[in-house]
Amino acid sequence: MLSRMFSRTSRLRSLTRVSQISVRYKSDGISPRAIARRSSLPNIPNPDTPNKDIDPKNKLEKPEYETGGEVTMPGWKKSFGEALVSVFHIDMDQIRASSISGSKYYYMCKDQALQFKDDQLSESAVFWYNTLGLPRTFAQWYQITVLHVWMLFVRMRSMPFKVGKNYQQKLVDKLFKDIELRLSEEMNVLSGRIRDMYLKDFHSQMIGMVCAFDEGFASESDAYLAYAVWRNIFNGDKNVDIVKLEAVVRYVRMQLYVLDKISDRAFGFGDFEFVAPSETVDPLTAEEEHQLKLATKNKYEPMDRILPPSQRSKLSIDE
Amino acid sequence: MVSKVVGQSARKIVSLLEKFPKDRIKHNATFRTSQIERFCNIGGVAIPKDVTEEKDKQLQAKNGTLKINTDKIKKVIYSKKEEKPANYQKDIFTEDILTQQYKSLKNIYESKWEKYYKIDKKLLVPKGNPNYYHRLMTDLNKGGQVKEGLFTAFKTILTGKY
Repeated sequence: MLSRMFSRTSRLRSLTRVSQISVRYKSDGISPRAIARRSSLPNIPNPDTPNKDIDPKNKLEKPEYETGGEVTMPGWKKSFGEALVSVFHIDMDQIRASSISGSKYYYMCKDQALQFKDDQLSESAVFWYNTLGLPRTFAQWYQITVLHVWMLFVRMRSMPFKVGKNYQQKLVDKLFKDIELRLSEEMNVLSGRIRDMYLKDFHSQMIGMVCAFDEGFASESDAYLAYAVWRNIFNGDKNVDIVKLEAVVRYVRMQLYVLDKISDRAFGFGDFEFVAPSETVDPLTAEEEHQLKLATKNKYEPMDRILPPSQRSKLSIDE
Repeated sequence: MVSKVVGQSARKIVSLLEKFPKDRIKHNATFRTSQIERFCNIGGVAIPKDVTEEKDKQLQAKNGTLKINTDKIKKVIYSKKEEKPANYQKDIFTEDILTQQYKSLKNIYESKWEKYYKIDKKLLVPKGNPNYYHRLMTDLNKGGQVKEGLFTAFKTILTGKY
């Protein structure tokens, strides 16, 4: 995956082609997790946001395509689909929005901080809840998910208008569909009226968060971004550990850098993954950027074979 | 009693915090004022006058927007109980911890990571929505209170662009 090409990188030590676009590097840099762990300040619990996690009634099952399992389609179905796309000139960039943005990208955002009471945490969730000491609650999971959704929004805005808007729409639709399902199935909120009330709250919270993070991003200053992170991720905690705040600012900047370097085509085809908090990214040299563009071109516009109609796209390879 | 070294380190943090930019729009909580108050408390330093004034203004603005003021109701119900001051856990702060906090704060102030991960115009002036950030920042710089004109509002509704 493209983001992996950046992670664990420093100089272009070796260019190993595992697949057509797998270029991996190694880094000696400090990861956001390492920055946060440097702090000697013990965690001071925030009385306003107590660590009161709800035991879920039951857990939503993960669909097969989300668990990373190979989903295969019979050959005749594939050919029939390709013929349909070709005959009716279907705009695949718009069709791809649901499977990439509404499915793959949403699962990536959601999985970053997903946790259930008494369950073992995933590697990225350990960073958010154990290293940063954030409360293990549904609201906190939502805040971290929206932070990741916002980072994808930033990238989607720089896609062509119609496509980008569609990708954003699919991501938000899936987010709220998933929250509603979680509220009813896991959190045991059986009343539809109360669920709607919560959803409206979550929606206005999302608008506020997107505005605050956008301000931090457009101000081109870490101070405003830190303000937004402090208010929306650290819940405006008076006793915040500033070292940990810096770690999250670095984490966000690192992801935005990768999103900046990835081309529209690779991003639109779902070739982006968030860099883990335990990994780091070093700024690319001009030569490395050139290699990246070359690898993207080789994968999406190969000279040696003709692409099937479903794989064609108008998204830019250079930008 | 606060040790001399801790007091000095806390004062250094407070003077750095005072240089931080002020929020463009009023929020329920402000990082700058809340942290100045916190580190003044840790270092045993008097809170600057402008910070207390800003905090009062912020509180007034917050109360103006609340439909139900829970603080007021609490005061009426539990009138005998005294309000607890914020617990900053001063005792755990050593010189080392304060130095770490200062270094991180300085990195944030100097936009270390923004400079390290330099972002091109590609994201800052997005091709799908070139005016998005410009328009957002213009509104925020006006304090988020000025309403836009009818023409631009209609343009946004019809085109979906900013």
